[in-house]
Amino acid sequence: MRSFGTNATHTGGSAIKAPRTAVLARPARDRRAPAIEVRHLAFTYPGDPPRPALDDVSLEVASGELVAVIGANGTGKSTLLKLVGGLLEARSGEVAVLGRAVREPDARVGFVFQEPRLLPWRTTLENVAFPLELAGRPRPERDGRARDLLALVGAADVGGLRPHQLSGGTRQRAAIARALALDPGILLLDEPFSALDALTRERFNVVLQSIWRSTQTTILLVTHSIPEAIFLADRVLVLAGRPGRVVTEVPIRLPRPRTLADQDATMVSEAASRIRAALGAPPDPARPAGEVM
Amino acid sequence: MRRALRDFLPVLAVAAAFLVAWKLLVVIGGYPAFVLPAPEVVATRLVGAWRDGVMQPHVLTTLSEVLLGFAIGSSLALVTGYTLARSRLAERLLSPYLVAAQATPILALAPLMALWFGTGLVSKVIICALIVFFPIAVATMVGVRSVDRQLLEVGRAFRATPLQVLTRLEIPGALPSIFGGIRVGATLAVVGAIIGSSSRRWSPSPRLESPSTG
Ligand SMILES: Nc1ncnc2c1ncn2[C@@H]1O[C@H](COP(=O)(O)OP(=O)(O)OP(=O)(O)O)[C@@H](O)[C@H]1O
Ligand SMILES: [Mg+2]
Repeated sequence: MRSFGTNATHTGGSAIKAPRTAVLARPARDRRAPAIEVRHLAFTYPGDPPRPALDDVSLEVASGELVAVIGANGTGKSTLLKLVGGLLEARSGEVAVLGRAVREPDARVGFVFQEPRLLPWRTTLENVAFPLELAGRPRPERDGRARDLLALVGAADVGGLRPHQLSGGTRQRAAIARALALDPGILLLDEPFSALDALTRERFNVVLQSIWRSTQTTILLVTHSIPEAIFLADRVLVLAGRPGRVVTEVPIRLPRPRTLADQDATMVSEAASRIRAALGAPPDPARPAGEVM
Repeated sequence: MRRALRDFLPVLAVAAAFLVAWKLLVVIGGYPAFVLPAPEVVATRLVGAWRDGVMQPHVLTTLSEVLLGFAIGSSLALVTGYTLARSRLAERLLSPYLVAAQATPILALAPLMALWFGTGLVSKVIICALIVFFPIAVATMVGVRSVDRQLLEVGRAFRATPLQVLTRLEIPGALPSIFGGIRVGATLAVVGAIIGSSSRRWSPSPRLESPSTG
């Protein structure tokens, strides 16, 4: 099991030791029903005045795929994730997960919120074990699994501490561990790394990639960071406007596993400028894409 | 041990200062004992009453009144507070009565209670329960309402049942506030029991030397 390695002095580049295969992109995925399917989804928050958040969004995420959603503040990224996760009810359009229409949260879907949202009265270990406890797993099993998960995200030593005693980054690690507790086939990640410093963030990206590869989960990742989206995703969906719509889809055809050094590739800067253009920012060829956050 | 002493010392010091101030007040003011008895007079009386066995039954009665009233009042308050916090309808229907009832000084009802329920245990338990009810009900309502919505959403995301939401999220989240209410309620319960006892004799000042029967 790879760990986030809290004390590593290097940035992520050398953290990947897995042999790189020569193939471009991942092998073509089987064309079963997509893991996530969204059709003509619109959503307006009720109220006075009502707040439209999403307008006619359609997307598909294949099983095992990692798709990033990028967009400015308020373009409905979190709303989209909550609709897919069954935390909001889709009244207009369709949302299906693993071939089933979403009505309520699904046990096969793990959620990481934009904030860590740990229960302050529980230890970190108990927080990670929370979904297992709700699912009625016996105590020894949940403790063991929670410990494994904390080790997986590189926070093995903080199990006994309360959330307020953790750094923001460690809290987020715990939130990711909690989302993995029930071994979900689909992970919905809402800006999971926004609280992290740039270097830690790069390391997390490397590890998220390896978790994704080893667990074969489908991931829908919301992010603000173009480099992060390009580093992690098979495809990047750009959301823009209020209410938000998918304005562009940029495939990222880089070999896996990716390293942070890949960010210098021509492909990366091309993808980055396409994404930036779709986001509405003026293209800036003088700046290397890897540094744009 | 040394630490315990260090923590305890300020408490002792303040208590001593209080007694000295009390004594000084009596000496300097020259108050007669029936207006303001000196601390040692009160202490002697207390010890005497205890040694004669006059006090024990009354302490026991008052204690059981307090505990019973507190248990009943706080249980009802927890249920009511939770219902008010979670049901718009309940709040709309009940809150006018609650406000009106809270504005009524419960202690003033003491004689009425004695009239309706007799001078025994029942009326005092009811007074205690009523007095305890409001602070705890309000604290519970505020506490449950203030439970972080984001955490409730986490509960939903991980498919908590309604019972699990109650026991794993709402109760722990509201507990600090509920404890605040219980602190207030517990002290008031004692007040309630004492006032309840005094109303037996239709007199506002119960006196030690002529204890009424419990
Ligand atoms: N609970 C809510 N009630 C009313 N309006 C809301 C609510 N949550 C979000 N909105 C509105 O919906 C729109 C989209 O919000 P959303 O949180 O999905 O955006 P976002 O893309 O996640 O933004 P950010 O990048 O800041 O996280 C915004 O205009 C926001 O004000
Ligand atoms: Mg958001």
